[in-house]
Amino acid sequence: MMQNVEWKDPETGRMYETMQDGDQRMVIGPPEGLVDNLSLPEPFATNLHNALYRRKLFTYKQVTANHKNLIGALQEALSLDAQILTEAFYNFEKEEVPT
Amino acid sequence: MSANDVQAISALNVRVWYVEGGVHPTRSPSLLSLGKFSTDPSQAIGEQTRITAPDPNAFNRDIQVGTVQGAEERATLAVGIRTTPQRSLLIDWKNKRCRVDFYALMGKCGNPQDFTEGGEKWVYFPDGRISNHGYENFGAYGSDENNPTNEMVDASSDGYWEYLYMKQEAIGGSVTTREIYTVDVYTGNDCENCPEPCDRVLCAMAGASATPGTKPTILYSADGGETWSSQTITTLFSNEDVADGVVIGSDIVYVSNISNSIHYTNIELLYDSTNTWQESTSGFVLNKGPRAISSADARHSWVVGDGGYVYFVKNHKVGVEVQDAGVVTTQNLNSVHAMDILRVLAVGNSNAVLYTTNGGVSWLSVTGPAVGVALGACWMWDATTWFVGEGAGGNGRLWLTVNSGRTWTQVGLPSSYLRIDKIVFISDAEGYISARTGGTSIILRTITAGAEWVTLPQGKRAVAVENSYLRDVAVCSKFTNTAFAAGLADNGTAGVILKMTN
Repeated sequence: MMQNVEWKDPETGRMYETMQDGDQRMVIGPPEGLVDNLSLPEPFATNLHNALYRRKLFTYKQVTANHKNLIGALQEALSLDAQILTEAFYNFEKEEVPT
Repeated sequence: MSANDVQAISALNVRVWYVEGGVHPTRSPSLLSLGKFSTDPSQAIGEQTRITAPDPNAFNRDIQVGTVQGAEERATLAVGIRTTPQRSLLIDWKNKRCRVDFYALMGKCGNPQDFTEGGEKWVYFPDGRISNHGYENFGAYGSDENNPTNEMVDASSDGYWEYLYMKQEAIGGSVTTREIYTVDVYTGNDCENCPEPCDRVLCAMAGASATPGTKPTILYSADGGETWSSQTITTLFSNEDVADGVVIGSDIVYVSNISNSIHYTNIELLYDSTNTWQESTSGFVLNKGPRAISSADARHSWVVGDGGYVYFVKNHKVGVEVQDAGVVTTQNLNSVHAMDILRVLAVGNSNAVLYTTNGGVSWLSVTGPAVGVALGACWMWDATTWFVGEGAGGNGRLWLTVNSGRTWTQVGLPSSYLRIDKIVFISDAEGYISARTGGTSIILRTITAGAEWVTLPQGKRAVAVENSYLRDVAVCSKFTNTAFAAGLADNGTAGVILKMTN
């Protein structure tokens, strides 16, 4: 009987939602190779893939229906947001000021 | 206290203090020099009118089958001053037609010029509005008519109530065997006969994860902390925490970061020992567990948590829905306050400050007051005026913005602290802060909307209760001069619950 199963690719560390029946496995999402088409270096490509997985963003329809969720996935993949970037600017300028 | 110990207040023991524009975090009260309350304050709260029906036992008679509460009126008062060659404050009030809040500072042997600690009691007249200005003895034909010239204003206010010095005592010592995570107060429902708003105190106590493990417990008191009962929170495991709690309707609702869910039970059934615990997991996202909850009303609550996630809670029994999926920030959010059903403020790590003015349809971020610092507490005093406290790893500063986060100013506190755990107000004027110093927490109180803060307990002979830290504060009514705080006792293993009252 087919079952929805979370599956982690042991080689890449990427998470997938799959339909599984015994040894047979069919990926539901995120689409395999999607992030590889973006020319992202590792580990960002895998981080983004797993962020899409956690947010259940598997299809074009899901992505366009919740655009904000996509931005959240990007921030999560990069471990970066407005607060961290602001802090970086602040620290950079503080170091530049001669004492 | 015997009758001989009572020191009755007389008219000369009362001084008038005012806040032009009404209480606000940026405005401290001022003493009305040469002034007094010229007409004694009073307020009609409405008479009960009979609802009648024909008497079934006698013609020509009726019987009372109910009553209708009459309309409550605004309080009335008047203040007067001696007229001097200086500019008249009272005429300014008349001409500006602004709100002026009044305090009657009462004392016998303090310093009437010290608002926060010079008196022994304050009577607060909120939302003061001037309705009339007049002079007295404005002219004379001769020395036989000569009298001091005075002027006065009539005013009305939105009722009035007292503020008293607050003591501090530890309660529930026999049951607080482990750390207390949260303290909340159930103020009762409208159908109860004269409920005491501060009597029903509810505390979540940590479990013990040693084998076989003790689950977290709710400690509850029906008499303001004199006696306590306890019950296991059956839906939590022994290693699961209670990150925050809130009363929603007649339920006590806890959020757990580790279990990533809501746990709740009916409070009135709890006191009858007929309750059951329920858990809601629906809507929570894996690894985005809750850290804080705030409720505007029974149908509008917000939970914030890890990864910048904001959840909306329409019905805590059903679950939550994601309102912001770490889009505005990816930082862990540590505190949230829902001022009403539209306006909500949240703060978190790395100086994250988020807010919504449309009930969460859209969330916005502003640059917080302390770059790189984790913010641990927040309170939306009004739509644009917010308090934010620095959390773990910060410098314990309290910050204020009056323009929705465009600019921030540091609020002056009686001492310096390591972190602010909680900010809570019960009215515009009265609020509390739990602030950690090295190895203990201090409770601070304001009765001036945060413009001035004093350390509790008050009074020369008052002694603070030792503790390691106090992570939660609860208040019950603006009329009661009572607050509760809870956390870890000074021995580092037991819990502690503090009651602060007069």
